[in-house]
Amino acid sequence: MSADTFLSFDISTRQGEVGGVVTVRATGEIDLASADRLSKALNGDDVTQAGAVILDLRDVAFIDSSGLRVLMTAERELAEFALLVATESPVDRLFELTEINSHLSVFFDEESAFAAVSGKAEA
Amino acid sequence: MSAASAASELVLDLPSRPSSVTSARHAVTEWAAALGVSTGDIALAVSEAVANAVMHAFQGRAPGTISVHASRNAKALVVTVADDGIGMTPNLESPGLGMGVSLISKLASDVHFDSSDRGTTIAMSFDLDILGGMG
Repeated sequence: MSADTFLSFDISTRQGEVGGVVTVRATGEIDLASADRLSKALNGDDVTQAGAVILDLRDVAFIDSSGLRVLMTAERELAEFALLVATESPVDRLFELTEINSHLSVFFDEESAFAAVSGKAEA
Repeated sequence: MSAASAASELVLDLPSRPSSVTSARHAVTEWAAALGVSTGDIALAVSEAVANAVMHAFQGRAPGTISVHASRNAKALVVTVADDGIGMTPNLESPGLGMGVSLISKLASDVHFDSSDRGTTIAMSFDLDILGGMG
């Protein structure tokens, strides 16, 4: 396994009831070496100008507190922000250990996440 | 590498830079996986320990070396992350140090921090009873 942290993003938009919901799907590992890439992905114009954002972390194989800090910043700065997480995954494990769920909007299925943010998204 | 032929210990010396977090985590994870144990919590603890060293150990001076040592005994895997930096200071304003230390304390069965102006050593034990495997 190389020293490089593999992390990539797919960004898509789906129309909600009152506006576009951008989904950022992350794949790979999030640590100190790659957290900046996650931060940049969440600070792109297509994300920051969206009415609502879902960050899909279901394909993230690893995350540590470096990634968690990026998520906390996004929660503060984005108008509507939800996280999509796989149960019993490394992301779920970190959230459980840090008891961060009370500070973030965490969902385990796509439709619930979309329903939670789509009605709030501005046109 | 099979569990039968797994190395009894792992020794790494890495430069203090962000990619070393990944390198250390991958190396320790592969080493532990070869022993047949669950690796998720070890991976997270190693990542936090090395990230702490990269972010905090060399502030105000040139980056140094981070040494990772992993070994096994009858009851536990022991992973030590040591740096030759400035040591932990009680009033660090750098973000993240508290979260990393808190996580390590939750993940490891036993953890010892040793810090001086010659560097910081974090020794983490992971009970095999909790990790499973190895027989």
